[in-house]
Amino acid sequence: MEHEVFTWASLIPGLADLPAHVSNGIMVSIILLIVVFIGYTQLKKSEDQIIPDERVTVRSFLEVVVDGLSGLVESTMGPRGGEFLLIIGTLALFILFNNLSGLVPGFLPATDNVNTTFACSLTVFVMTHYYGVREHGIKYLKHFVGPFWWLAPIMIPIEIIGHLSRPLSLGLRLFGNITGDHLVTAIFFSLVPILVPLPVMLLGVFVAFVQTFVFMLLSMAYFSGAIAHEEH
Amino acid sequence: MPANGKRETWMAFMTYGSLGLEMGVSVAIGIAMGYYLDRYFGTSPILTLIFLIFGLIAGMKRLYTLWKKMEKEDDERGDDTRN
Repeated sequence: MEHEVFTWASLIPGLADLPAHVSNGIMVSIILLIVVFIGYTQLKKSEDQIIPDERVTVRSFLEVVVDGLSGLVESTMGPRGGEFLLIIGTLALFILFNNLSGLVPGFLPATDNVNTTFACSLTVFVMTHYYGVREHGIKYLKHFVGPFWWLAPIMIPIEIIGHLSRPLSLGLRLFGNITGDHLVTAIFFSLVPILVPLPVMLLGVFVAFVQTFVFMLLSMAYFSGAIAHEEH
Repeated sequence: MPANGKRETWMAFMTYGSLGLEMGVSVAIGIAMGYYLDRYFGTSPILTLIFLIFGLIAGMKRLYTLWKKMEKEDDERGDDTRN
């Protein structure tokens, strides 16, 4: 899929020379920033309003989004989930908007490039160990030794392989699903442009949400594994 | 409980659905580590084979921990229904 395709990003002067996934990632980030900015100004305007709005406004919509995210994080990770809401919510919104942008004509989803997905999954990987060391101090390294000290020479490589397989599988899963979905949509679109791609696009919406959810769920599992205290 | 049960099913579906890829990837990482260590030390193919086995064990260990977790969750749910 290396042929020239039209993207909206190629119309913007500074972004035209960048690779497609970078420029589309930047555009999605800009859209997210605008949404956040609008929500923030709305929140400022109605800060001391106790009764919620009667109709659906930008503010109430964003409240639903943030409330849903924090509810999901806290129900999965327990009472300490609030600490991780920022990183997980950021990743979730970035990935979701990128996935969904693949369904808009003129956007290439940034998540159908391994560079983007591995950037997200390596962030999770690094932050997992950061949180682990912050929680347990140097004792965090004892996680790698295993139950018995004489098993250490075998357990340490095994644990290292197990930990390295997490970011690789996270990034690979997101990349594979979004690329496959985008490719199937493109093929159907090139065969019959009317009505036929619709079911595939519906599937695309489903895949976009499910993959975001899987990414969130697994990062939460890794974070809570890193901060968990061993109980024997 | 029914609504909660549906969500739990979804969560379980996604957690265990991710297992297959992770097992495969850990074998691949093991082989890659062994291959490059072999190239560095010039001991081909001993380290590749050893790390292949490490990778296999890592995949199995992931399966084992998930199984333990599943058992624990089952126990908790059993307690809930008994009370």
